[in-house]
Amino acid sequence: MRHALLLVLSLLGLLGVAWPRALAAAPPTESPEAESEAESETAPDGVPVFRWGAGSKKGNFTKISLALADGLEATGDDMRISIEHTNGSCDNIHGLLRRELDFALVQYDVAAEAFKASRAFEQAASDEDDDESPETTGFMCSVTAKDAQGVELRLVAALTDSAVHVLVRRPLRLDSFVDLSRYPVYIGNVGSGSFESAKVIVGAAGLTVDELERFDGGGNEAYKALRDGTLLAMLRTTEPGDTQIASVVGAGVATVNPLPDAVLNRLIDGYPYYRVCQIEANTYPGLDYAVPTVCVSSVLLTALPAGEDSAELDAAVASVLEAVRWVENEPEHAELGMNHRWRDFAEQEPIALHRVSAEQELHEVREGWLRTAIIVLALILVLVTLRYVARRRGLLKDPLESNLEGQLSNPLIPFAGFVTIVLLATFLVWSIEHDSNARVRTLNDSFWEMNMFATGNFDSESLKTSTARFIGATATITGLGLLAWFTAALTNIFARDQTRLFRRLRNHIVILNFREDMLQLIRMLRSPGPLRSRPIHVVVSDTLPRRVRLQLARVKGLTIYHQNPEVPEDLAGLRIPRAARVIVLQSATADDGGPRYHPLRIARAVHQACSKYDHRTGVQGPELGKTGFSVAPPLQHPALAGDDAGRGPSLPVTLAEATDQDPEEIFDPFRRWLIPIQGRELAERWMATASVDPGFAEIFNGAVSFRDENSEVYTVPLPEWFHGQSWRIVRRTLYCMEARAGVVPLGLYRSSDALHAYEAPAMGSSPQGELQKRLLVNPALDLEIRPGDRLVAFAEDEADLVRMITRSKRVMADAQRGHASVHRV
Amino acid sequence: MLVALAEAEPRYQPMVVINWTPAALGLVRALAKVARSTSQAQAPDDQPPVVCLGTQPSAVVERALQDSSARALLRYVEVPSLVEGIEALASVLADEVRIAEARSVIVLPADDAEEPDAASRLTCAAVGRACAPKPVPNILVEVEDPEAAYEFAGLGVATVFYPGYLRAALLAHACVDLGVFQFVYGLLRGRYRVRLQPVPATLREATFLDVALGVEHDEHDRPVTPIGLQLPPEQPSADGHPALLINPGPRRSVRDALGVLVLVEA
Repeated sequence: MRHALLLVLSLLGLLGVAWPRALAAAPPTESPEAESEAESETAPDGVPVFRWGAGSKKGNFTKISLALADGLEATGDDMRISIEHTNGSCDNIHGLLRRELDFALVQYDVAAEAFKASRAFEQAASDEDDDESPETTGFMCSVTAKDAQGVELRLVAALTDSAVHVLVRRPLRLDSFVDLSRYPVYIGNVGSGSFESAKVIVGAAGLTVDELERFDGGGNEAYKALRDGTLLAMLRTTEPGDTQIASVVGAGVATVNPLPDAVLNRLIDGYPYYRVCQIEANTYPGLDYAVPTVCVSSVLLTALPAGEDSAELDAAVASVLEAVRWVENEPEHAELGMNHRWRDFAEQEPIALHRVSAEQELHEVREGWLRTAIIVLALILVLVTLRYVARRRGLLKDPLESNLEGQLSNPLIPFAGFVTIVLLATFLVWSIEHDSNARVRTLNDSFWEMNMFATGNFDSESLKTSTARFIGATATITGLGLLAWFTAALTNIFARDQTRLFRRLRNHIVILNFREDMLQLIRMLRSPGPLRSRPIHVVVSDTLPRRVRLQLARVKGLTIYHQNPEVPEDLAGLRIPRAARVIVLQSATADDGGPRYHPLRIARAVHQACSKYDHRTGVQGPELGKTGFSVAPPLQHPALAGDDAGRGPSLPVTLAEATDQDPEEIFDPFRRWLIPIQGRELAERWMATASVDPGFAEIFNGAVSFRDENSEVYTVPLPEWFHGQSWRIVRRTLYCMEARAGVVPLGLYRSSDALHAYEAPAMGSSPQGELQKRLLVNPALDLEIRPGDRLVAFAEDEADLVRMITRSKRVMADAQRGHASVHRV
Repeated sequence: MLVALAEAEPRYQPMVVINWTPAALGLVRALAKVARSTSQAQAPDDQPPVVCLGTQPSAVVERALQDSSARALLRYVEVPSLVEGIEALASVLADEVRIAEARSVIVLPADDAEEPDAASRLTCAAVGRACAPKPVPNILVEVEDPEAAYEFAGLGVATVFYPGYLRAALLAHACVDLGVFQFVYGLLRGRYRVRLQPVPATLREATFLDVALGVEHDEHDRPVTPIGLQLPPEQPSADGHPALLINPGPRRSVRDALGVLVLVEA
């Protein structure tokens, strides 16, 4: 239910964002009555032909125009275009304003200036006191307000992108654009968009075109001059990857000079029809770094008499847009890099979309949001399913541990929050300002800028817009708060007895109801002898002295829990079904004033904790122990309230410390997985034997204590070359071997045929009795070794024994031949 | 086990437990079992194998043991508390218990003492005085604090036992390897025993490898496993016990060994 609500809210949010934008994109709607016929010629076959302003015969505009002509033909031939070759954007905009062209490709800065001129005319017409004549021109391409009189420019779509390239002949570098006046420079053909762009760029640098030592001639001549060394700089507005530029850059003749930040910012401020961009690294051969510059789009414009529109033009625009999509998808025209856009291609986009384009934009926006909604919905469904599966498999934490209070002390939460804030602010600020702010032109720039903000270094000069500044300030405040939380959480952790950020809860050892004298147990488990060091999880009571807790806290791989071992819910976090062993200890003496936990009650809690854990961890458990089993099969237990009696829990081998007052029979209900250890009785046996035989004490202590200077007992699997051999061969082989010390083979620990040692039919009395049957000490010399048998032997340490066993094949061959000599490995 | 080679003596050699209370009746049973399993002859007058000493009144102990099957296994002697000094205790040990002739002495922690291990140390001193000038028997002391073990040096104590260590060792081996746990458990339960047997005369100049390959069965033709050597003490130690060398390595010469330690099933 909660997820459904979230989903609905998400969709509403998406629609809430999508609708206003779509509505804003819609152009002013013309009433049907206002529509009139557009001027167009007609081909002999009756197909309307529209006049189309392209560029020079070999220019990029002409290539685009020809491709679109192909597209029109391929998409139904509903209209045709009559391509007219011009000098470029200036001629095209004039053609449109004079109604000599129906469509034209124009650089957007030129188009926006012309649109501005038309607005200036309207303003001047309404201002009777204005002395300025409409013929006065200051706009690009000398467009006057009068030229723009009575013409409405409409944007069909932005088609391609061009970047301003500042090419300088090597080894010249321009740190300041004022230096441009000192060198011969080519800024394009008069009347072209490239020339107009260059004019405003040098203007942003504080120069006029007249101050430049301009190279007169065509583009090809300019490149030749650059190669000859008679031309030292060029300003070209063309698509990144231009072949001619690639040629001179690749030949090492010239390189691409970055536009200085000051020029960039002044340009964007004065002419917001550009956007900040960069020529990416490796766009040209040898250009190993990104070069900041400005980009401008080439757009397709149409013009209609003021206040008028026509169905014929609508149909033409629709056909052209269809042709545009065809060109975009046609591999043959991929080199044009055509990618139609409705907006977000300049810092400001004053020209309204043609109404057909606006409709298509609305359609695309809706389609985009619908696609996003479907993806989000699918993602939510996947996450919900994963969460459900994870819960069923017990991979998620117990809900009792996942509350907010529990997470407040986790330093990973504020850290994750900090990262999220920085990433979110990075994306938002970049989205808002990457077109206009040279300091955040890439996500990388924005990321480092936001890192500065979020760590408290707010700088209002770094960002331009109020929205971005607000986001930056929010990132600063939130970041400082999260850092304070992070610091507090870490301090809290360091103030505890123990700092343990990561816990391993698989094949671990759980010790419940730990008491002080069992420090010896921890020391032995962390002794150098055993090859494998399992993680230890210790549940202690509050009465355990602090000095002992601090001692425990220093043990590697040991985690301390302050919990009640008799409460199953408290044990859930220990993942007991995945444990290799569980040890249940008696409480300390009664006079310590603390609670007294009984091993039987703790055993019940262990059983309940395993019952509550997901049963699907598998009957075999996650990993079979080194002795072939670690988890007991389902226990046949009576149904408890809330339990599924049909499925029993998986329980690890558990050792419970019992006292003389507790007869072994009290543990009978748990006998399939629990081994009671009568500590006092065993101690008395030990004392009785050692009192008459001090040698026993020495041998026993030596055998059980993992010390460097003595041998202990270990078991290792016997490799396959021993399978089928007699125990005599094994014995003879191993006695001959020597590493750090020798090996004394004591016997075999047989594998069980059953999956589990405690499988109900196989088990007669108790696990202890069953395990005992598998140990064969001093076996008959002709006993045959079986796969799965483990060797029980005295050795210096486990690694030493493993090393000797793995290199015993050749020694065994000698033993089979009756040779007995010492083999050192 | 190592005493298997010792000559059995016809005289009464009880095993003495000091600071005993009826709560430690299990120890008496364990001692009686050990006494039965060794080759020592019973005393002619059928004396109980264990003598228990404690500060509790005899009448209280008698009442506690009234219905116990272990009653016949022990003789209880009420001894003065250490508060009265060690001389009083030493006197009882010498006269009533004849502790110098005891086979072994076990000193349990005194429950009523402020510092049980210190009280045990004084008890050991009293045993020494009671035995003088004869050597002290084999003394085993159970301590509550393992750090107190060194305090018994020079008192003739053969073994200091800390029960926490035994529990820890068992549990640790159960955690590491259940097969090893079974072996240790069996050793403790008396299922397996380590026996000392002489080095075969033909192998006197040989190595441990030769002995290990040569000694495969005992006198009853049951398989045995040589696990080490018993060596003479290089330096006279306080307790005078010979050194045991487990897993000496195949090249170790047995020339100087007093015997071979073999693992047998009981």
